[in-house]
Amino acid sequence: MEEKPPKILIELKSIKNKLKYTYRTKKCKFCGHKNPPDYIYCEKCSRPLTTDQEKIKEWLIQKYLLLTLEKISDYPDIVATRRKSKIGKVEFDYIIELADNNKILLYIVQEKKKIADIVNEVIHYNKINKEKIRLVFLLLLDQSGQNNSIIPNVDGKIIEDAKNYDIEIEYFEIYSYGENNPLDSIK
Amino acid sequence: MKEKDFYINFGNTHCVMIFELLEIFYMLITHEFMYWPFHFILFFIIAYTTRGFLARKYKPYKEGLSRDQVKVSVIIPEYREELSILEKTIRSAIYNKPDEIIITCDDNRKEEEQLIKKLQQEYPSIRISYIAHGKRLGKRASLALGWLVATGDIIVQLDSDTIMAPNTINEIIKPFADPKVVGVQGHPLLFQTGSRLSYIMGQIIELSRDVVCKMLDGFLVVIDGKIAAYRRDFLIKNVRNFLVESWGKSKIILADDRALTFLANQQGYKTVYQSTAYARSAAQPSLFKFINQQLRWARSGYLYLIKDIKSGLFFKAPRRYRFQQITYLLAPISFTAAVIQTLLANVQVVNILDNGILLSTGLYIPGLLLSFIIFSIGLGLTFAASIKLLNLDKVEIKKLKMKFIDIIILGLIGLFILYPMTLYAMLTYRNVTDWLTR
Repeated sequence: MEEKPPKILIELKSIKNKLKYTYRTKKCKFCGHKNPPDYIYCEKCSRPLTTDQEKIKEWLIQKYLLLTLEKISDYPDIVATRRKSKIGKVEFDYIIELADNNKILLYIVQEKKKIADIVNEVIHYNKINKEKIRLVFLLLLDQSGQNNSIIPNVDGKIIEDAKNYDIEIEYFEIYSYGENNPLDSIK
Repeated sequence: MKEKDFYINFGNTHCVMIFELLEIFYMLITHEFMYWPFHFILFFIIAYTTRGFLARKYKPYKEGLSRDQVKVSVIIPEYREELSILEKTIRSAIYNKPDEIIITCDDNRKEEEQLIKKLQQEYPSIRISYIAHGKRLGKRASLALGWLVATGDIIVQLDSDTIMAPNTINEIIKPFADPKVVGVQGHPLLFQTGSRLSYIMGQIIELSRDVVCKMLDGFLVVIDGKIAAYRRDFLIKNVRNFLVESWGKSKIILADDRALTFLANQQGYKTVYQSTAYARSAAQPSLFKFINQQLRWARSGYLYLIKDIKSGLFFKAPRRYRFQQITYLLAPISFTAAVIQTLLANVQVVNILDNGILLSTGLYIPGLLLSFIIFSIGLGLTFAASIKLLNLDKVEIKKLKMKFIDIIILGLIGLFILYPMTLYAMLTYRNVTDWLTR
């Protein structure tokens, strides 16, 4: 007959398993929740757990598209959509062409320095094309909130210029939900 | 007529027409006028024969667009689907080798994500995406999100319980070679998941739809969402119309397939049927769910019939489309008239017949029993005749292994449940707000 292992060994094994599980969990950078290792998004706050840039980009675009769909009655009809398409020298991640010469340009911000250049490029484009453009910068803020400085970095004059050429600038920040989030105030 | 509701007519018509048939014989023998057998003439002789005749002329697209000419995305909107069925659905999409598969999950279950991760690892060469948006969007918005995210030129939409045959995508994209075609209906049949009766009834509907789609090829009443393919351009241009569609002050949230077909027809595009693009969808597991599904379909059928008329689509549509819609609109009205006259006049006919049997054979059969015998024989006869006239797929009918008792039960369900339900749906068509089956 097989001998039963001592009780202490069973308990140790159980603790080891628990530790192993804890070690394997993926901690959310935003809310600190510990997720199972195979998760891409936090099960508590739904923010990305992955560092795969392509996945994060796609996730950001989807989030914005979802918002667009929720407000679809405020927009003219969609005429076409394009991915990775250029306006001037800038490649946008997603472009929604709307009726009545409207466009929504989505740009995922990775280098904050570039924002002013992009706005200038779109202004240049619209001087000729005279469209109604909503220029959307998609941002994934990190836990420290360091990216918060992006918006003030853009010169107020550029924003004014953009407005004069029918360009509306929007910042779409993915962290911005949850009550009492200190980052919310920036939006 | 929403083709899906065909069974409601199909079943009900059988119940009454045998009495009408009896009355016709009575009138012929006695030369005594009783009534005009509108229902019998309109729904059995004319409707079935016409549908069957026109459907026989149909030919599926044998050549057309091929996979190397086009990028295909499969979109599967999912909400509380049984995981084993969902897995089969996704696998069937994988075997069809599309460029990408997008599953839009409206219930955010962890198990789905795990399932999809498993499949992603198993088939790394196919792009399988999973969209979980953290809130319940409803089917229309989930589909629209899928269209916006998709990168294919052709979108194949599958219900989360629809399993495609291995060559379905190759077949369903063929008609898109014609630039006027924006929507293609695949050929869905059912597989049994629970109740045998709901499976049989559901399958008869699908087989009848096959005939109606063949008849209406080019201008379909509905491209059933079980398996449908659209040009992405068309879908994108109609996102707003699709999402803000309303009736009076209420937003229409169901009947997504009916809405897309309506938009395509209204904008002058072709909506076609590709009978070689096979798929099998889960039958309703219980009779109760089946009846609820029929109620939902009947409501949306009436709502869109009125929309067709109000928008003028009805008047610019081909004659066969109008014929289909008129027979649909008149079916419950005509049927009600037939029931009333049967109750009033047929009692007399049955009594005469009963007396005749008594006098000639000495056998007394109670009136009610005689009525039931006539009803049963009639159902059997008319069912067989309908299959013949409509030219329903005999192989699939055979597979149902129907017994005579099934036909009687179906007739009784048609008469006592589906018929009153149709009238109820007519009166409450505005309540197209609840799926009723999930």
